[in-house]
Amino acid sequence: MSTPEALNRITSLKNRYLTLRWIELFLLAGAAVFFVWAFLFLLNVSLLMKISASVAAVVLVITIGTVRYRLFQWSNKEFIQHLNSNYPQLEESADLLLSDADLLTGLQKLQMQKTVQRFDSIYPEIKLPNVLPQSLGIFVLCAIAYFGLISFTSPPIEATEEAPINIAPVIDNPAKESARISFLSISVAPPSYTQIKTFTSSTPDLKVPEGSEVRWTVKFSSPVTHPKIFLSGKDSIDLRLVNDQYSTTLNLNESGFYEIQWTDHLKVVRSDYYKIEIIKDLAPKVVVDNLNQFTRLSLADQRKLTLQSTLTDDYGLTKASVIATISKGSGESVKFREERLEFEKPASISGRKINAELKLDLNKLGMEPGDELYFYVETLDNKVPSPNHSRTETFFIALQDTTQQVAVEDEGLGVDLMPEYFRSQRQIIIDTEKLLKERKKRTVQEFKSTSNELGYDQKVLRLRYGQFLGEEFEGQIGKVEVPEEDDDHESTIEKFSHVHDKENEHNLVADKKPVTTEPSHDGEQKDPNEKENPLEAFAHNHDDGEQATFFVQSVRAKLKAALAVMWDAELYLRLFEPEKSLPYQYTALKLLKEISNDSRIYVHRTGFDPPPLKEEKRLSADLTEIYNSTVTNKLEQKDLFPEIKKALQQIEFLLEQPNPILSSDKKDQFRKAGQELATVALEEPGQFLDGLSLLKKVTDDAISQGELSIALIAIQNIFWKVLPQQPIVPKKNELILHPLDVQFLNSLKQLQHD
Amino acid sequence: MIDTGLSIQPIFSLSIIAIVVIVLLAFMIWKEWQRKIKYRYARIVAVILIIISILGLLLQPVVERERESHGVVLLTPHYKAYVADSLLKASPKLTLLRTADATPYRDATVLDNFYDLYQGINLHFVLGDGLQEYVVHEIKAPFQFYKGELPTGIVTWLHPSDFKPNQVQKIQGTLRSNGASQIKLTGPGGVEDSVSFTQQGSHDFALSLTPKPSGLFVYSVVIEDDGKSVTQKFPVEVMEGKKLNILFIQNYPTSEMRYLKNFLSENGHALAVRSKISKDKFRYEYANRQSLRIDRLSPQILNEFDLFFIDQESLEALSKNEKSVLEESVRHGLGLLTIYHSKDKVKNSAFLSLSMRDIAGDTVNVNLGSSTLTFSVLPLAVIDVVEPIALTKDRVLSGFVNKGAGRIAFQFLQETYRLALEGKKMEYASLWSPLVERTSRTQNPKFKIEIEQPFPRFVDEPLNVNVIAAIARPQLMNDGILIPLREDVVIDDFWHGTIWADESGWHQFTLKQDSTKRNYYVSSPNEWQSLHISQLHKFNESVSQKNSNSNKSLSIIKEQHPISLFVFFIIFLLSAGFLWLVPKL
Repeated sequence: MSTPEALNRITSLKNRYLTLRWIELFLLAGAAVFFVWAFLFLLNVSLLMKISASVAAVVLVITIGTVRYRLFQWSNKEFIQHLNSNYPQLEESADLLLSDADLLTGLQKLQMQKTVQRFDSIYPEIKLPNVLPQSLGIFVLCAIAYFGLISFTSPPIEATEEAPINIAPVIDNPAKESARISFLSISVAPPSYTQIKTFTSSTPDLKVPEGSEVRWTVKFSSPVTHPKIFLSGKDSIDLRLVNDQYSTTLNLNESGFYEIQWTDHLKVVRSDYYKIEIIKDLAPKVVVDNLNQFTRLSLADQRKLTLQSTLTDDYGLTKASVIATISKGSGESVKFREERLEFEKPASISGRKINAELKLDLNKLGMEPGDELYFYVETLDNKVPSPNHSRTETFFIALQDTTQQVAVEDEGLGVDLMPEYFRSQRQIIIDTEKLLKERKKRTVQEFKSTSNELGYDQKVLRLRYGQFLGEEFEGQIGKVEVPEEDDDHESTIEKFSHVHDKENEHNLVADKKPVTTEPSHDGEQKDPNEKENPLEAFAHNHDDGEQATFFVQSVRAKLKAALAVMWDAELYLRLFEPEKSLPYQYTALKLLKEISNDSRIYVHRTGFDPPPLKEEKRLSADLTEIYNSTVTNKLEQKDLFPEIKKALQQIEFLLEQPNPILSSDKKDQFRKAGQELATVALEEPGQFLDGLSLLKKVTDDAISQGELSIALIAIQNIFWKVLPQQPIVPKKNELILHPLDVQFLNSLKQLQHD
Repeated sequence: MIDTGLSIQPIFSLSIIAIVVIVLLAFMIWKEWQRKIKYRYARIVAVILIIISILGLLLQPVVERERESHGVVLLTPHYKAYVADSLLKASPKLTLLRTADATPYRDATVLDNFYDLYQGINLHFVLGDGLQEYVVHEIKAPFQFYKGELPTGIVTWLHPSDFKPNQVQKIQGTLRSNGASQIKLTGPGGVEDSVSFTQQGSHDFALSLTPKPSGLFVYSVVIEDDGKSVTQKFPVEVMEGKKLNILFIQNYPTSEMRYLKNFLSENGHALAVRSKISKDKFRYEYANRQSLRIDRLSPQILNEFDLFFIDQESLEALSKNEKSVLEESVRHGLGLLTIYHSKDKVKNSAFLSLSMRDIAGDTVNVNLGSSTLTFSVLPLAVIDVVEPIALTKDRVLSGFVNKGAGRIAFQFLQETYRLALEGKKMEYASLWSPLVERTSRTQNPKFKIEIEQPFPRFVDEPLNVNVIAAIARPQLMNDGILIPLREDVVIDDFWHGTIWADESGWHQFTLKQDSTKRNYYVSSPNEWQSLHISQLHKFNESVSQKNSNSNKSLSIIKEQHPISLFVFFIIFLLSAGFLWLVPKL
């Protein structure tokens, strides 16, 4: 073996050594990576963290290795030294192999020859120092440890108490793995009054008490931008970054649904829809347990009652009281007094269910026979800001008034309390006519007497109407015609007798001493000077019947005319000439009718102003100006959920195919149907939200081909449920008759006719 | 067996084959003659052999043999072996044939194709499921049919011809089961109806379904029998109906008419209403349609409408001429519905000439789906035969009688508008819709496409389609492909065509000249077999000749045996090989 050959061998040995060392180092580095992963797995950190930690471990191991073995400084010289020190056979002369032969002395050359031979002999035995088996052992151990850990350990659990929730993100572009939600925690803080502790929702679907404060905390598997929460029917809410996790807090008062959206490398990623169900704080319930709604107490009954009431609420009650109203007296003199009574037992109202009691002492309340007590129980719950309120129906307790009862019992025995004040004009006419008819049967005395009485009736009537006009008896228009005998009676017998033939029998009209003036046949005599009074135009003389303003002018005029006619009617009756009196009576009746009609119209005018009637047109059956009317309208109701119906048909088509493929226009149709579904889902998230998220998955291609038909069937099912049951609609039936059939039928008919 | 000769079944037309072969033969012989090598005659023989083998491949010759027979017994699937035994015992010289899918029986030979049946085979007996309709039509001679065992499953299935939206509709059928069984009808919205039986045997059943939107749907019929579950698809075509043209004439406005009018117009029907306001003064209302002069009833006006509502007073006030016009229009298809308020008017009605008797009780309880409601009713019981729409135990409440092509309807229930007022839309609709629909004029479109075969229809089986079209040349398309039609020899405007559906699912016939459409569903071959077999039984029984063929005469069966094409190929190969080898010798 020559020197260059030996040199070559040395070089190859050196390279082998380096290779061994490097392999060793890489094994150790791999072992370190496994170790780091296993360790970090236990700590449940992000992927980025894992990768950086493992890179660090690799760098560390390799650096230490290279420094320790001085791998980069190794040259042939170093190796020669290694040979010299480990193999004494070379006689410390291995370095000669590297020297230039020409520069060596003879002895050196000799020694070199010898060394080369020695080297040749020991070459197969040269052992390169290494720890390769050990390294391999460490590597294998670490690998086993890592795989053992991940296969036997349950999914990582966050060190905090919050349970992680896995949310499958719906990915717009499934080709590349997007950032996922690696951790989601939803803590729900119900309003303090509910006394429900803050809890962590185990699912992203929320069912929370009304007014709860909900906090979402989200961590993503890799950095994302613009994470938001979309709430149904509302705008989006940005999630804020705090300590590498995103979170936001919201007060929830309405049912609906939400989704989480984030942007990962300009790609918008959305989560599934999750529902929000609100548990409403119900109004408290109040029941009065022991009293009937209407209680009537007699004089002998105990005047002390115990009111027992059961009050319940879902979270708690704060206040309850009895609102009592006592009514005293009757008719116009009724008086009310309202009192708020607090329950005696329990002393203070709190808790979810309360059996409250209150003793009602009617005497203490100041109730007397005939009085009534109305009360109801009112309660408030602890809801903030505004508590729920509820009350019972009103209960009645009446104390019977025995004195009144007697009066009621005697009702049938008493006199007719409603006197016939006076005869109406019509009655006078009827009586007059009757008198005229029976003239021959009656005696003259009788006839005259009756006629006179009718005259008196006529007078009373006149006076009555005169009062409406503001005339105080016969103050201005007529003069008093009090028969002499009446005056006599008045003075002596009046108080002891029951005289009907008298103008103010029942003292209905304030008694006034009639002004006695000189009797006059002409009732209309007036002082001619009076009209000339210059002050009259400016004064407002209420006492004067002429000026009294009970009625509008036309009515006044008519009434005055009626009164004047009545005078005449009375005159002829008093003259025992009823036949002459009758025309006046008729005129008076007619006028009175008109007056009553007038005043009716007057009442109407306050509300409705009727168009003036053309008397000449009324009931003339003239229809010349009335035309036929024509109305044309389009009333057809709009089709309900047209897009869902189309989508249903589309699903049927897709399901018929062995491998359904969703084209873009089909997806468009599904999206449109989804919008219709969303409107329904808003009202009933529990029932239709699943369908909505499934529909979204289908339109976003987030569903595998194999699962597509199952998803379609589910969507079809939900669409069908959305469609309401509608009334049966008649339609045109089709009957296909060949022209020959028609001919046949016609001939048959012809035969029948013949 | 005697060989009687050779027949051919050429692939191309004979003339083309002749020309090609002669030209080829001439060319090849000339070529061989030109070659200056030995075995000239042998080569020419080889060329001739090549040509003969080519001819053999193209013409496909068949050897015909004749065989004596006392008649043929054809065994089809599910035949009863003891019937075949008995037949053979009675006349041992019967020849046995069986279809490929029937179980083997003694020496029965397999029938290759039904074509043989048409060719002189003296078919006496058919056992088992029977022959398809299209096969039977080709067999000229009558045969006797002994039906086989009916398989388990649904054997009858009666369904409405078209399904209406929002209406409960019934399907009736019969199930043959082995044990405890259940039928479930599942639609797009889940299970619609189901029925179960505890014992084996034949059970009648009724299933109901309520379609919602219009369109084509496929429902599933799941039959669970003795632990086995079979799913069959049932096509449901829900058709939105066409709207009606309705005329109202009333002497004075009533709530009854008003709510009826609103109900109909809200559903999109075209309405023309004439209400009398005063003498010779009217109010005209038109809903969902153009206005039209309806002062006087004329045939033209009445032909515009499908249904005519009139109150008793207006009906009486019609002039004599108008009455006769109305009567004639009813004869031509118009529906007439008079609203009566008193029983005497009904009795004396000239139009509704029915014999009726007075009946006690002027209120009735009517069961309208979910609830029972009380109505006041005219105290009348119809004695004559009428088509009832609503009825109670003792009387018909509403119904109609046919008059010519039209119908005259009556509604004895009074003040039905209460339902509409109370918001009971469904009940109100169920009270009036059937009456309105049944009474109205039936539409008689100019075109109609009918399919002869009932449900189920299968892939690769002929579907005969008939078209009624009053035009010179109707063009029928099946899924967009033009179908040849031939006009009926006897009946005018009646066209026939046949198609073979190539895949299961929905298909559509359309007419090029019109918007008429006909959807049909083709079932997969493994579904509805029991129903299909029971239909086959019925058909075969209908064509079976009970006492025919008493003359057990000798007949000769012609059998055709094709010569194997392989022989020709070998000849071709050897001859061509020889020609190739010659120059090298």
